[in-house]
Amino acid sequence: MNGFGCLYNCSLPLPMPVKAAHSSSITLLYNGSKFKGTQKSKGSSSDVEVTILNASLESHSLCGQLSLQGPSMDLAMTTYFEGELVGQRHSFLTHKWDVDDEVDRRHWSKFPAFAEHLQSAFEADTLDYAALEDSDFVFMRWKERFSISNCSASNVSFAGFYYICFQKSTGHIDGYYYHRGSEMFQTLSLNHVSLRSSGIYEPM
Amino acid sequence: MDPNNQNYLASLYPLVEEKSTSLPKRWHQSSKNKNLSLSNRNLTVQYQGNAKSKDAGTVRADAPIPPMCGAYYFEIRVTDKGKDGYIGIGLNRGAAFKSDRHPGWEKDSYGYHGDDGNAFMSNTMGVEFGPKFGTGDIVGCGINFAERCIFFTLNGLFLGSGPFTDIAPSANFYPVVGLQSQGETVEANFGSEKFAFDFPAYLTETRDRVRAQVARHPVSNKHGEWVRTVDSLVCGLLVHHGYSGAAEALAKSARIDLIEPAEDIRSRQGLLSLLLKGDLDEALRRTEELHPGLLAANPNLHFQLKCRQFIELVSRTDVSSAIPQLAVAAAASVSGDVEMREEGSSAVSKSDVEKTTDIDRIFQLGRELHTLRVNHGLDQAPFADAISLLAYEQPAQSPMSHLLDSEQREPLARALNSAILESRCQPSRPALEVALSQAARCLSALSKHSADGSVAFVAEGTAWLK
Repeated sequence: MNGFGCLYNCSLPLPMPVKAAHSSSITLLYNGSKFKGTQKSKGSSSDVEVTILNASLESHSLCGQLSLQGPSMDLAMTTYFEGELVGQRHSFLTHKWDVDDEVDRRHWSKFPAFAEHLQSAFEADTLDYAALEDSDFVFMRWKERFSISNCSASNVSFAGFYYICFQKSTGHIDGYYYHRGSEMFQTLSLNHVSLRSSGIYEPM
Repeated sequence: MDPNNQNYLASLYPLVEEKSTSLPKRWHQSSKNKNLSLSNRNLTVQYQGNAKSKDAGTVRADAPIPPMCGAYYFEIRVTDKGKDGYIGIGLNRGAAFKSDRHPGWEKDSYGYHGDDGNAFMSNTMGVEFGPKFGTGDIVGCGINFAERCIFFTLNGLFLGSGPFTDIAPSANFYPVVGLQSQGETVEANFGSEKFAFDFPAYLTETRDRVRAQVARHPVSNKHGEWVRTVDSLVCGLLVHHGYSGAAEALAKSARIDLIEPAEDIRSRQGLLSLLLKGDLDEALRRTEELHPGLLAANPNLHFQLKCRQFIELVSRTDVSSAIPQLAVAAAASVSGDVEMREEGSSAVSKSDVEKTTDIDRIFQLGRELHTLRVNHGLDQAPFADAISLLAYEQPAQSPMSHLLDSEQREPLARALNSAILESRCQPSRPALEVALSQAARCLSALSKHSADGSVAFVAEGTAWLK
């Protein structure tokens, strides 16, 4: 067998980018990471694509782009969003964006991962954040800040935010969009898209 | 984001604030003709009546059209032309109307009818206008406040205004629809969904025409005075903000005079950049040197500058070791208790020799501030805020940390700039800024008190003026 032949035939999966030394686990939330899936409401479904622009897990934040297409043909909009990771810096209790504890509880409880381990800790407010960091799940809130795309005909509201649960092992994201003026519990479901190369480069 | 939550109306009529002015959203239940029935959240109208009724039945929308739309448009879809297809669409001026008269028949009423395709302009006799329409057709009616006309469309095609020109603008126009035979059914779209007719494009075209009219307005340009005026305005702006090089270059090429000598601009600019860098000590010293008496004449400004000087000093000094004594002294300064102050400062100078000079300086400043405040009866708050920084070991981590932001220097720089200019009998605000301010006020007043919607097309996109 010719050694050179291997180079053309094999499709090696890309090695996962290594994050900063003191980060306890390698996750798919790296700069340039893409996720694709859908956002569903009662009776309609839209295609969604998310690109993480900058993930800084040490400072418990990230930012990225969210593109939504549909349900009708002529609706396509992209927004810039900022995410905060629930942990030492940001608690499960949102305490902003017009949200009270009851709304927080109702949304976080919809994630099986949350219900299993953390319900009691949430109520007593003595959450074991170290255990949370070591678990397979990352809980976040994503808030859209402004629109990037040039959509003059329609003016889609992004006044709310998403409750997010990301599973490190599968790269799957589940989310719920919340805004008091919108239909409740619109779901977001995304899967990581493995790419051969990333559009974002970091100088080492 | 929520794809089901699209605010199409807000993008069409950006100057209409939903909170204070409502747009027509549905048909008005209580004033409708008895032969009509409304359904589908009052968007669909059907002629029911009994088999013998021959009267027309009209219904109007629930709110009048605000002229600040500039131009307004709505559509109806004929879902069923019923027995005779005797359907009319149009506008009525005034909330009160005869509900058994088709749009266009009465005074101040304008309509387009589907059975004969005729236009009715406050008259029971119609004139030829457009095609007849029936089941499945989408008919639209719009009013252009700036160009004083009413127009109609059919299935996305612009039919024009026909006889509906020179309409006096008013804030009282209501969309209306009239039916007359069994089974006629129409559904309205007041903008919650996309229109069949490209109304956004119509708005853009109208906007361009109105703006072109403004641009063509004659301005006196004898001996190039218009150009020179504009050049002076720009030059004045550059001078105000201290861009001496640019101002000089413009003055030279435009052959106008600088309102302030170039060296003065430069020295003022140098002074302000010291302030913006945080070097308040030098900035204050130089201000006193170049503009003697300025600070004495502006005690409030002087006080604010000294508070800033205090804050900058605290942020530069490591005060952690002297905290308890400083806190005592701080409390004393605020309350004016002389004994406590002396005790506090002497306790410090005994304990920590290296940091004495800085901390002494802080005390001295604190005393100066206190004196200044008391002498001129100034507000305690900025002083109390500044002093409170001493209470924290790590001021940058405290709730008062925003005081340490370098951004806080900017309003002070602007205030000092204006004070210096005023003291030299220069305008404290650049002429260009005054002119823009005036323009913004005019637009605002016009939009509130005028039914002439042209303002809408000019004012849009000028939110930055405010």
